[in-house]
Amino acid sequence: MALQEEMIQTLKGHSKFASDIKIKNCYYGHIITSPIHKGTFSIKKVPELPHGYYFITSKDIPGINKLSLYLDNMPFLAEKEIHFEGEPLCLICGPLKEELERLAGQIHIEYQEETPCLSINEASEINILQKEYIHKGDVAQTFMKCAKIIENEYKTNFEEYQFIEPQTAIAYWENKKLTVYCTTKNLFYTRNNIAEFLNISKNHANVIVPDFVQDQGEKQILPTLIASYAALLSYVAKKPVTISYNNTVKRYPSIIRHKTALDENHLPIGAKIEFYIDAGAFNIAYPNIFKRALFSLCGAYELDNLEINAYYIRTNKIPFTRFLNTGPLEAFFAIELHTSNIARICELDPYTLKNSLLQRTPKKNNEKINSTESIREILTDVIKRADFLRKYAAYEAFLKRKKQPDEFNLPMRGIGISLCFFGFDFLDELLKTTKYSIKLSLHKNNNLTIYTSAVESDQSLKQLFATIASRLLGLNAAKISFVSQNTQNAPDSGPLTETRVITHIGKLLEQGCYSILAKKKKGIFPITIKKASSISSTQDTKVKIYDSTYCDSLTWCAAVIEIEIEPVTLEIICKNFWLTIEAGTILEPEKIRIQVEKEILSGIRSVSFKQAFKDHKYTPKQNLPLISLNFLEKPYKHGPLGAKGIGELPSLCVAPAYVAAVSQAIGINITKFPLVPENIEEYLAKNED
Amino acid sequence: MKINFILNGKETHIDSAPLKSLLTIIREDFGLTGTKYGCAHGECNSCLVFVNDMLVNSCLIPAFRLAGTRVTTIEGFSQSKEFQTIEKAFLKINIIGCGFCTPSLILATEALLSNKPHPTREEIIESLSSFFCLCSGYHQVVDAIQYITELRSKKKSEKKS
Repeated sequence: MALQEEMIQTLKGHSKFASDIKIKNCYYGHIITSPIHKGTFSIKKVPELPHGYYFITSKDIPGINKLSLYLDNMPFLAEKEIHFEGEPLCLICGPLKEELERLAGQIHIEYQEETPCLSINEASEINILQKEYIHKGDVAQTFMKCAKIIENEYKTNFEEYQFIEPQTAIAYWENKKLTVYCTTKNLFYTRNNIAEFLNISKNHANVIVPDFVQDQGEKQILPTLIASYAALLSYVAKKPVTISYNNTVKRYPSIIRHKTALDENHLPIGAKIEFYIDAGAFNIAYPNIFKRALFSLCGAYELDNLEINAYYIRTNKIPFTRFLNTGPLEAFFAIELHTSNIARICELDPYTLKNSLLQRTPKKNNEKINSTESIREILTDVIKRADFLRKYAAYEAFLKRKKQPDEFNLPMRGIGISLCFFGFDFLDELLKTTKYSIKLSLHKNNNLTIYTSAVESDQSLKQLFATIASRLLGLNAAKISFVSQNTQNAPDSGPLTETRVITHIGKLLEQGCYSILAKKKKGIFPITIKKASSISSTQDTKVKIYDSTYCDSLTWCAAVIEIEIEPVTLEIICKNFWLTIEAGTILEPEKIRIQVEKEILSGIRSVSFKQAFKDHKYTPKQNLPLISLNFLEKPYKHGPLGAKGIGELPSLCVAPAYVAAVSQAIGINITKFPLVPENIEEYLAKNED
Repeated sequence: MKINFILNGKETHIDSAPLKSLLTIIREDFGLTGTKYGCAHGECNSCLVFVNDMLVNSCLIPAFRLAGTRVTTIEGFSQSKEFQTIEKAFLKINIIGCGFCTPSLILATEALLSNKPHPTREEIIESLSSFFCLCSGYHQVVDAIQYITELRSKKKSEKKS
């Protein structure tokens, strides 16, 4: 179906999500999960099941009971040991949903509970899943000789948002071949795991993603689990089976400690960073949270003397469905807020300090450093548009002077700045070693079909690909169609993460279009082209993990946020938000504006709601800032038509700039979020004491 | 329990458990899946329908309340003239995200414009404030609704002349 037609069908309510698909005589599946965080279990009693009802444990799995993860393995169904609350233990299926729930309640499971680790603070040596020690220069000497040391501990909060769309999978067998509908963002990962789980050939399993899937968080592990369960139950019951499972997107708390040595001019000359991030019970494969966090810990800044101790902690918490910006968000929050706090303590403005810390050393042989130039340009641009320096000075001055009686009822004002980057796919080992592909087919009537499994939850990637193809081939974008959601028909284009799909798969699309143009001259149709590559062939991977400034492939964003705090209610109101983004060539500015706005709202929700669960709606009036967005266009040679993906970049900029602005407004250096009126009241009360 | 009501302009009757929700009836008995099953307890607003021209959460309406009512789902509303301006605006402004809440958003737009043909930006934001959407920003939705008011005003004045 052409793009335009898809959109019209969506408006009329005809788009099918997984939960909308109905198959005749379909059974229901039910997952029995652990109520305890850690321990062991044994199934003591299963009631006599009526005809058509089936009970499955790990012993009934025909294949391998291990979901493959990067550096880790997780059982599909727990065998004896329980690792987290909500861990799937066993399955039951049958024709009636209500009867299933009744039967599930009669299954007697005995638990031997052990003391769980539920937070980073409770962790010990055995909970360390990964650790990294990075050392540069002479940190000990630097701290001995420095003029001043500033240290702080930064904390990010627990967040939990409800998925609206239930996670649903439907499986059925036909002529010994399996078809599964599910909501995965990585078709072939799901298919391969199902095949191993059931001990069948990959060619006998077809995974299909329905027309539309709601876009929230990491959607690879949980959809794969549910799809596998549906497939197994269907195999056993010899009926189609559907399973729905409601879950939430989560962010677990993290701790980042920054200790910075300053010289006589208050400029940082060395730093020690300690970083603790919660993996949950297992290390999910993609995205690689820990590596991305490591890469972001120092932000865009260069220090000659640096020591990083970073820990990825295993806790007994549910590991899947995490926010896609987990890792970098925590790292940027700390470094950006820390540099802003240093500036305030040393009575510098944050822009001057941050600018001075950007890479100073040119590359060897005076090679031009595009990244650094771009960073300075976007920083300068956003400062200018926001009139940051004047406002910052004015708000500082207002804060420090003695207030007149009639000034106590004025709102407290603050302005904050942050500088972040995104696009970490070159850090992921799996992407470097696997070739991903795309296929194009042009017909005589100028209808183009793009085949890619980089399925998407909304229209944006399809529209972007259609824009690229239409520009290169001179076609009507609305008439371009896609074969994307089916492992039988679409090639493996890898996991659906926006920046990678845009930059890497988009580049393959561009190359494919050029090949089509070359073949078009011969006049033989249809013209079918397949392009494949792994990520290492298009990205510079020779980078130091703590030094981001050499990476032209990253997308950059500088942001300024201006807030007001109501003097009586202490409500924080975002007044203005300025961003300048460098993301290569901007192919669809209006669509990117929509995406940027969505990410900013997401960032504001994270930082300003006490409990995001159930509060995650269109943001109330007071949290809707005026957004001013500018682009710095510098064509990126490895991106399609020079473009790079933006992904969750704008959301990374919000928290540090927001908290820095609030810190200025109330005159207290805040080191954590969320920030709600009750927190402001506490801070002000402490300050008075 | 036998219940007679009008669904998308057609007289219809069902035999249903009295507490079965309208949402389940629409989706399972009639196969109309445009109305989405989200939270099922009135929070997310994915299941909006019109009952007697009033916008309601279908997950909160039990079957026994349906007798004699007129129910309009997105499938029914999409056949109306009013839908055409909404469709035009949403396509032009291109605010369709994943599409899960889009049907409900369309019905909520119609409910707003039926009561207030020329809402201000603040009134539009207020009316949307209970929506559960992660895909789109708000400016574009507001722009789309304002565009709809322009289209409808234009149509009205064309009719008069």
